[in-house]
Amino acid sequence: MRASAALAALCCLALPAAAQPSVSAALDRAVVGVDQYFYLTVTAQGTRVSEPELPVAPDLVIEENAQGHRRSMQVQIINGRVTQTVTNEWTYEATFSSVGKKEIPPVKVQIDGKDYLTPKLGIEVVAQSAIRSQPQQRPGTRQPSAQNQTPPTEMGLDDLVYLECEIDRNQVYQGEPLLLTVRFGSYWAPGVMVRGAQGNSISLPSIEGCYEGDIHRDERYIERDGQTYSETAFSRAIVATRSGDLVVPSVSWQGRVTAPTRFGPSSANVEKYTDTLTLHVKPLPDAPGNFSGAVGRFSFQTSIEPGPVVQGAPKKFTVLVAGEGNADSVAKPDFPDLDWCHVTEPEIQVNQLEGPLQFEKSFVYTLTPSESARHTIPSIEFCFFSPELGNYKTLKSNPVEVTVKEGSESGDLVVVGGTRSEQSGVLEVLGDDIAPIETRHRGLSKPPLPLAADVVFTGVPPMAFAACALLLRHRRRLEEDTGYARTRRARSRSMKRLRKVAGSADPAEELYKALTGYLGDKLNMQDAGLTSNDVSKVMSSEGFPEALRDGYAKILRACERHRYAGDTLNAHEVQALTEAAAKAMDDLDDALAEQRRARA
Amino acid sequence: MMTALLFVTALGASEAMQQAFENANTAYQAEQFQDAARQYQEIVNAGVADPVVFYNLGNARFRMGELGPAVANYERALQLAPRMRGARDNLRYAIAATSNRLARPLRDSWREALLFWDDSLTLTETRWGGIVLWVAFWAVLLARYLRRDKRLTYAAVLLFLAAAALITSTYAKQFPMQLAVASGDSVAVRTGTSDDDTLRFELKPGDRVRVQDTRPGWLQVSTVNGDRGWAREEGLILVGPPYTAPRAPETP
Repeated sequence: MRASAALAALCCLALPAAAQPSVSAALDRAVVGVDQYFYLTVTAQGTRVSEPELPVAPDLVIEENAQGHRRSMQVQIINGRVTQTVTNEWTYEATFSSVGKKEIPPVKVQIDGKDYLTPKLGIEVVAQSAIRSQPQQRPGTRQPSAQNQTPPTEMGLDDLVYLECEIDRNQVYQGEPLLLTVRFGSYWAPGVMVRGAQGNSISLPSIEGCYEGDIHRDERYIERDGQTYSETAFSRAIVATRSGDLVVPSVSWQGRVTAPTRFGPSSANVEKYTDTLTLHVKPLPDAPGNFSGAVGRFSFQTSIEPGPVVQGAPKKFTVLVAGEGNADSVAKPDFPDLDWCHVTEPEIQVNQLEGPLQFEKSFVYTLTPSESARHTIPSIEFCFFSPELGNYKTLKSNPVEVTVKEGSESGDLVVVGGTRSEQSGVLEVLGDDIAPIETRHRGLSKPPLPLAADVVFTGVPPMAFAACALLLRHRRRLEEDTGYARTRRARSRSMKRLRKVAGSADPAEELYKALTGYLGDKLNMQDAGLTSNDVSKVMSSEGFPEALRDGYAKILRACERHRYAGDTLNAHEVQALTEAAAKAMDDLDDALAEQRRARA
Repeated sequence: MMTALLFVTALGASEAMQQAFENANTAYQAEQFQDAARQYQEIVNAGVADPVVFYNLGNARFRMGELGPAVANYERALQLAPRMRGARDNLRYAIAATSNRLARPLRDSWREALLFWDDSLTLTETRWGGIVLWVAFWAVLLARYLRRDKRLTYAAVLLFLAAAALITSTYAKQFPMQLAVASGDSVAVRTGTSDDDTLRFELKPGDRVRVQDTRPGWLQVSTVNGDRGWAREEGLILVGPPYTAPRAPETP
């Protein structure tokens, strides 16, 4: 029993105790461009650690699949107690799609069944143009292979960092921008650590009598004297606002440098200073009246929005000034007065291009044509001081020909653009208020007729025309074509005769006439005097079937017998013969129809 | 008996609509614009497509500060009655109050070229004019059939051309350019049918655009200036026809 307890106690001692759970998160940079990748690293210590739950924030996109997952285990035995620390580290790529100071919400990680949150992280997102000079590669891929050696022995700790300040020109004109650059570099090798007193930033000098632009930061790896350094360049445009000699003060850096040596890591506090610089600023010569205030190298162009120019439709007209200089000093150009359209005050937009001095400044005017005709927008001037020439230079745009099409609301054109007050003062075209409602109205109308009604309305007249035309043709043929008229009327005439047979004094005669008349009309031939033999011959020559011929002739012969014998048919005979005659006429019709079909 | 019953029912419904119209007018004059707009809208939802109702509804919406629905209803009134002076004036006024003050998009070039003359005619006028001329054309054709006369031939040709023009105009008015009016505070127009697509430009309430294509939940629109992109359907009111009920702007 005692042995078991001792064994259990030994096992308890031998079982490693888990380290206290902890989570943390870090970003690989403090400033990043819009849509530029940065790395979010989440570190969690614990035995059973789940995948982090990535946070959600506006404009933040974090790639779901971690770029890297590292797991390390450390076992420590202190005074016989074993402590096991398992560290998980995930690295995610992330981007922000808008500018500003952003916050990354806490990341949730589950350790040993409990939820832990990292602290919030802050990052500043700036426009791409402001960081364009920074390496565009994703972090982690841009580093050169580090020097696999300790710094050379002849290099002291002081030599592992450097600080330089320079201006790109010593002489400038008043208003002409120049570039001030401060470079800080540190030796790039494993184990070399440089920590500045102000973190990663350096205070740029403030120069009295100068306008100072935004600071641009550029990080890169360079080679100096055969050694690789990680260099951060801070640059800003400065513009002298007065003439004379200006002094660029010294820049300083204080920090601690640690580097591996043969005898182990060595560290020391290091201070670096740059020399003061002198800048000679020359005054500008007397300016012409159209001087815009810009000093530098510029190009100038105008353009009108593509597409048709329509009366009453706003159209954008852009004046673009691009070049190297102080964008703030470029004033809006004088836009000519145009009596055929309304012109708004320009919307001004500045795009910083590569480097702190390159920019594009656009002045976008909204033109609203009020007259449809061919018009010209006269040339626009831009006068600036050119340091290369040492004199003023005026650029002129080409006149723009514009054809204004008539608008869909031309009769009631609203001249738009500008402010309401400007409109009411200059272009009063509207009343003070909307017109009142209409109250006297009876008979609210339903939606218009559907398309089917239109089809009916358009279809009926041609059909009526066709019917009338056929009718007229029929009547004309009846008048002009005897054969057609006889054929068309044969049936009605013969039927009328058949109806008279029963009441006739000589039914056999009447029946005979009806049958021969019908045949005569149908075949357009003389029917008077036809005998049963004649009928047989005619029907034979016309190709009628034998049964029809025989049937027809048989009725006629019966009638002939009674006519020539002088006796009278009784009522039964009359009815039988009339029915047989009607059937024979029907058969004749059928035979004729058959013949027509055969001919067709 | 059945016909008489249907007639009486229709008469009763018409009387009810007329009463609703008068009630809405009374509410408007009492400056209860929301109530008036609701009642006008009910008349529209009942299938009435009357320019005066759309015009009054536009006024009520304008008074409520809803520029998008106001412009859409003035446009509807003008589609049905292009010579309606009040609707034209108030549409001008409403457009002047919009931020972008965009003009109405142009019609197709073939419509502009062929139907430059029909702006002020209503659909009913072109329809009945077309029908009368069409019937007259066939009548003259029949007369010419009876009597060969050159003058009748010329008359038939002229009547045919006039009828064809009016029938084409009727067709164009029945299937007009599909117009939409922005009603949301700011309607994003993007390069594609996803909220992740690049923003091209934004429409402000009352901006009129032409609908060129549709996808579920999205409309491809273009402005008079030729700017084009995809906007979410819920931010736009289709002018019609058909004259569906315009959506009220979302209240926060």
